[in-house]
Amino acid sequence: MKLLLIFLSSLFLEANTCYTEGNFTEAAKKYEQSIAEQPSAEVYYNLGNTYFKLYEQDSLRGNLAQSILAYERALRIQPANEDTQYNLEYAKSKIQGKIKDAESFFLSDWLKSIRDALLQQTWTWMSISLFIFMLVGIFLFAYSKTLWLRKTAFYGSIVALLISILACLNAASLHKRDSQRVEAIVVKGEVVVKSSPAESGTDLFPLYEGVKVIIDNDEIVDDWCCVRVGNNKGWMRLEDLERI
Amino acid sequence: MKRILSILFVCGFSLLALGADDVEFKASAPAQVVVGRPFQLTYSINKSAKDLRAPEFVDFDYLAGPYTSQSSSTTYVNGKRTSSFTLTYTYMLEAKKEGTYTIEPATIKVDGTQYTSNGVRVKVLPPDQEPASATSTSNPEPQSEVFLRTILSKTNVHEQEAILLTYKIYYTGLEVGQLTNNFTLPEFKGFIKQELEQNQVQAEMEHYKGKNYLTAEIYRILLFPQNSGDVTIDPARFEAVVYVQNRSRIRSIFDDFYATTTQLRQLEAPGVDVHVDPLPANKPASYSGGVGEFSITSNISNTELQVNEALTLTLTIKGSGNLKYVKTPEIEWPKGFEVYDPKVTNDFQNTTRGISGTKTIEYLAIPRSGGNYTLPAIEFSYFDTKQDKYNTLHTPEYSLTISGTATTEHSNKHTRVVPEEQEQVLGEDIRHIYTGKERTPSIPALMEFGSLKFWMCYLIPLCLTIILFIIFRKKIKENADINLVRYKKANKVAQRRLKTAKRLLRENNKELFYEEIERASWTYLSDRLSIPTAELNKENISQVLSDKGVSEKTIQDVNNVLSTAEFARYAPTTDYEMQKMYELTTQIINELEGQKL
Repeated sequence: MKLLLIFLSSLFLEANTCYTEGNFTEAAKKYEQSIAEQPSAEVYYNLGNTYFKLYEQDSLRGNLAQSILAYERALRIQPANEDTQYNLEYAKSKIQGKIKDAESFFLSDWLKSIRDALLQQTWTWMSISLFIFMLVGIFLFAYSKTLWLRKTAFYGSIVALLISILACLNAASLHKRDSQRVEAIVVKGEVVVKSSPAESGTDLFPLYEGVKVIIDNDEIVDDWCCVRVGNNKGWMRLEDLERI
Repeated sequence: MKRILSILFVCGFSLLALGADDVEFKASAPAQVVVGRPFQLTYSINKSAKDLRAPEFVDFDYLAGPYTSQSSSTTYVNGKRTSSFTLTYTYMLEAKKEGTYTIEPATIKVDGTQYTSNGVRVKVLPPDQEPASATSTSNPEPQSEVFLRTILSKTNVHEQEAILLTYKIYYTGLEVGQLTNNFTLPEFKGFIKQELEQNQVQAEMEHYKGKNYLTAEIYRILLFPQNSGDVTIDPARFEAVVYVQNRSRIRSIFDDFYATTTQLRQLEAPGVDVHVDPLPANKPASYSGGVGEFSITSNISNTELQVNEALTLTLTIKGSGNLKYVKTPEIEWPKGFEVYDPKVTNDFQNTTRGISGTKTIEYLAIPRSGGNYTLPAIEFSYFDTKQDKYNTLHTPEYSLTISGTATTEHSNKHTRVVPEEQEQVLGEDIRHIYTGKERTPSIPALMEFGSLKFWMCYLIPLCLTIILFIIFRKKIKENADINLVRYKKANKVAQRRLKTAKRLLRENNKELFYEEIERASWTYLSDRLSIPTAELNKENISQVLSDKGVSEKTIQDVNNVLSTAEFARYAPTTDYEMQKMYELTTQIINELEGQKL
């Protein structure tokens, strides 16, 4: 196990050297190897940077999408990394043909950003510990003889229960996202979304490389899947997507 | 047309002296005349004059003249008198053959001074070609005709090159009054339109297809083709009011006035095709989108200046073509200059050659640090329609000397042109890769959401709590039961003991009496307060009672009873004291019984 760790870090350092020298193709290869052995947020982040540099060099189709994909995966492991968030936003700004954002309620945006700020595990543990805290609070409320302690325990347990439920909901939502892998990135340069799962379907709207879509796992017909972008819904080929 | 001569009558003759106005001596003749048709040449002067010397009419036949006529008028406005006087000489001439001729100036003498008129250019048009058949029938009736023509300045153009489109009305044998508002212009698809100011309609004579017509321009528009290829401009429709002479000739003196009828005529200007060539592919990098003929000049406000002093570079693009659509050239300012958005001033006239005039662009920059700088030449490229190729013009390079050093914002605030300094962003890039050693591997979750383990984490504490609750509740209930019984029985027990005490009092058994009193008090207090007798003593009883809200006096009485009962057992006492003790104890118990403890 120890030997493996040393090997990994040397591969990571080699890749970093390649990146600094500007040999991005080689760096990407090394980071990919490193990920194959042991995925980590930092390697994904560096890989994202490498693909982005490759995209800047010759804007070869696919590199931008790979870059965005790597950043998204890095955020899955380490959601609060500021550098990753910044670079992801920057890479997203290079996406062609701005798609109209879903007209979502500001509250749901806000809740979503809170959800994504922590890992699923963190939410789970938070929920459980707050639940226990609430139980203790109820106990204290019931059997304490001191008035202020009873009051504190009463309100404390109500707040703890509410936060616990929210944390649990967040964990559930993240669990759904991560286990079913519903979020995906468009990897093909330009894809036209159809109204039905066939080439003959009506063209609905175009999607460009790097756009994040949500796959409806219940609606997959052969190699076609139903995707949602903002308020729009349509069918596209699974091969044009890569799940995060 | 039929009017040969119109004679101006002398309306009156003013004896008043003419003012000291400048002498104006003018010659005038129609711009176009037809071979074999007489026309008038008039000389007019605003002073009394004599000795008119007309030039020799070489190219024209002299028919008659000069007829002299005078007119003068005097007006009073607010007591001020103005008078005018005109003396006119009229010659009748006839052109011999077609061509353009100039009638030389004439001279005249006013008060001994000689004045010379202007020369007149006359275009002589060929006579109408009479149709072969028309010659046989000697029908003098004039053929009336009215039609429209669509005239393009060019039919082979490049993209963006200005074309002038003119609709012209041609008529003969009738009079055209005016155009009504009922007209439709084509859509001019594929063109950017620029309407021209419509000229005052003035009829001219023109020879067209072997005939002479009176013509007038009725509508003019500038067009800039946007796409290459063959473009068709659809026909336009106009409506005109025409006056046609009656065919049935009424020979009367009012003939000329009443023998016309007014008609509305629908006229159509034919559609035309334009061939638009694309611009050549070898566009220079600095191509501005301009098509036409342009020139460029630049001017700099100062080349030696202080730090923070404003510098203005003025660029003037002059010429004609699609000037309106020419892009503003970008200037590569040296680093260290704060650059503001250029100010563009347009001074355009819409002319028949396109939009012409000047576009003045003022660039404002403020040097923020000292040193010597070079302002590179500005390149301006356009497509030259005359030479059929791209032309690139350059402005001169400027060397700038900035003296002084960069100073802090504070000390310079009053000299600043623009108070707000923006944070300069030189470039944007992603943040650098992570080079540290620590890694955040993706750890598989200790338990999956929704799994048995997960639910257990909630269930186990919940069950534990419930079990604890049950245990606690049971115990409390048990305690509560005992205490309740004792609480309820406290009075009874105390009463029983007091009864015994009363008996002992009667028996005068002092020792046992006090013992009974003491026990009655302690048992009662213990039962009422639900505190075991073992935990009660004289020290804490006052505290416990005061916590329960018992009045200060009762507490004192309780203490009194307890301590007296303890000591009095072995001390000599009287019956009276024992009686009093008994009463006090009863009283305390009654009092405490009335309170909720």
